[in-house]
Amino acid sequence: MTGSHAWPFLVARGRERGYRTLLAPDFLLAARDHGVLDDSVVPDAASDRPSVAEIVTMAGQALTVVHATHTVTAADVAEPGAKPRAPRDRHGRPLRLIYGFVCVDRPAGEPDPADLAFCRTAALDAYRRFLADEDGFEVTPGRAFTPRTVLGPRTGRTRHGGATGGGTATRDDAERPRPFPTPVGMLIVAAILLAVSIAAVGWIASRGPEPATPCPTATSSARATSARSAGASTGPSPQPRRPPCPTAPPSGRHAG
Amino acid sequence: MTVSLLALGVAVPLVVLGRWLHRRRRRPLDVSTPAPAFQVVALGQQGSGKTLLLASMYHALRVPSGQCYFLTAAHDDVARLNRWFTQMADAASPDWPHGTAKGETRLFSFDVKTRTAGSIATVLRLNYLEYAGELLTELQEPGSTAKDELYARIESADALIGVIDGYSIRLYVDGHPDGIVRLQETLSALIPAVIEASCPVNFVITKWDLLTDLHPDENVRLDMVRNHLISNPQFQALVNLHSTGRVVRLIPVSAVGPGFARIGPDGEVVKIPQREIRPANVDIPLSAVLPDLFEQVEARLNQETLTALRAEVRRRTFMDPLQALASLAAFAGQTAGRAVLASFGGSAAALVGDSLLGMFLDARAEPAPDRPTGLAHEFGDAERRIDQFRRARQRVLQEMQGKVLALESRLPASRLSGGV
Repeated sequence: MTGSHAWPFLVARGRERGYRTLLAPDFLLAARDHGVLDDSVVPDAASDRPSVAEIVTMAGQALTVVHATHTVTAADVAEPGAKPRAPRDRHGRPLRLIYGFVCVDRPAGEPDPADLAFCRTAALDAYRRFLADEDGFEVTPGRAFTPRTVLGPRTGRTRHGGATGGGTATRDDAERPRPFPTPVGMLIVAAILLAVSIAAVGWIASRGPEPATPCPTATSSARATSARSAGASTGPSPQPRRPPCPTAPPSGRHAG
Repeated sequence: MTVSLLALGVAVPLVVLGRWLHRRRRRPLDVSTPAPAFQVVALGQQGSGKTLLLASMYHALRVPSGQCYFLTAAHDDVARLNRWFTQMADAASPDWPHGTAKGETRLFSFDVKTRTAGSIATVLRLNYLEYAGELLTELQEPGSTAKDELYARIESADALIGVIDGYSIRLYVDGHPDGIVRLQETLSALIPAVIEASCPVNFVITKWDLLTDLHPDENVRLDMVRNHLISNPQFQALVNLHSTGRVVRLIPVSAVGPGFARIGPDGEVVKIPQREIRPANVDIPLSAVLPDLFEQVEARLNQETLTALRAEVRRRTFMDPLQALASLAAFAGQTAGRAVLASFGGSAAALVGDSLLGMFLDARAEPAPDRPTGLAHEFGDAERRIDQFRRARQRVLQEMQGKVLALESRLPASRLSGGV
């Protein structure tokens, strides 16, 4: 089994029997893991339009499934000499084939129509044998072929049966309550804001004496300057510039 | 300076908190969420008519016509249902919708909504599983998990609908050799899925229109079919098993209605050109889900719990909306309230206990008289909304019950068991 190969498959319903895998890659059949195809592929409303699905088998193998849907025509299943008639199941519903190929690597671009045509031929061959004996039919092993579709290396991973458009849809995700804001969340935010504010106030208060009222006198100012410069430098220290005391009335004027 | 900063530090968080609380108070109280969700699974073989029943049922219930409630679903689901319905209803095309493939298994979530005085409220949600019928009857292929997943859904369902294909009954009644085989296949598919179910089970006969000519009187016709089914000891045993404390119903439905299709010369069901569909009884199976579930829950309660339940129902009748909410919360914490919730058993009870309990209690109450205008004016906005929602919900539940009772009245043969 190599990344450059592909294997044909077919999932279809008969006149009597329900949807099941009729043609499966030989390696999946040998590993008894082919039921994943049936679980994963979804019929398309458009005829023979390719879709690509990523699946993971029960054994954990990631695979790419290129599939298309074909409504069975009278010509597809006509028996020699019989009057052509659009085939239906016993409930009067048209019969559809979900066919295509499985590959280990992923198509790098659009699947080549020639590959799908090849697989449809193989699928119809298996399907005709199935219609002839629905109860006794055994799954046909699909042999590897070299596709024209350009395959590229696989990246990422998908869940079991995680085909495009398949799966069960629920609204659980959409309904999850918003985690925030909640009353508790808002209280926590308020508490953090309060704590930060108090810490900021404390930090500002601990930075040293502020020129609180009354405005420092020239003596105390000189003492403070002398204390700051002692031991730090033996040389002359310039008198630090201080802002004018907001409480001291400007000279020559009367405060307000 | 320090004092100013300290004041600012205290004030800012308080303002933020205050503004948020104020906004919360002004925001309309959403009394309609979360709506309890109930899981419904229709059990039927491939081709028995599950998909067409689902499409026709949605079509009948998507507008509040003939009932005060209506269904909504996700846009994609609505598109699917409409596509199936259109294909089915197109008499010019011979094709019926394709059968469901295993990969198309899908949970359709229907919100049951109704109009209250000022808005549309979601009363409950019905999750309806659509799947390929062959999962019930055919062997699971190696590497497949679809059948296991289906049975897990069946085990956790809040209601099961056993689907019996009317076409098979037609063959059986006509003495066709396939008739007995197909009926036996139907029962073989239903029995393992239903035999251990603890939730309510009803049976529907699809393609009822194909049996129209059995007898002109619909009830006589249904009685004939009922007798055919009951004569099978396995079916009789299945009905008996699920009859304790509640009615098991046999609901005849037709997704297309009489005169739209017939059995062709090759035995296939074919459309009759230029006919219009007139679905029959398709709204009843879903409408019966809640009344039956509530009936079963009540039947499971012991006498002591029942007494407490009825007392709470009476109390709530005379309470104003906020008192009723407080009382509900208190009741949910009491032994009787917990017993009621435990009787539901499924995930619905665990997730939305109070909401489910409120719905259950209101469903047990007599219809509430309209409040005097003056008294209603005394309510605040939130109280008014709660009151309106409760009344709307009660109306929905009563109409659901009403549909079931109307069926029983029109077709007494629809009762497979007496519910005693």
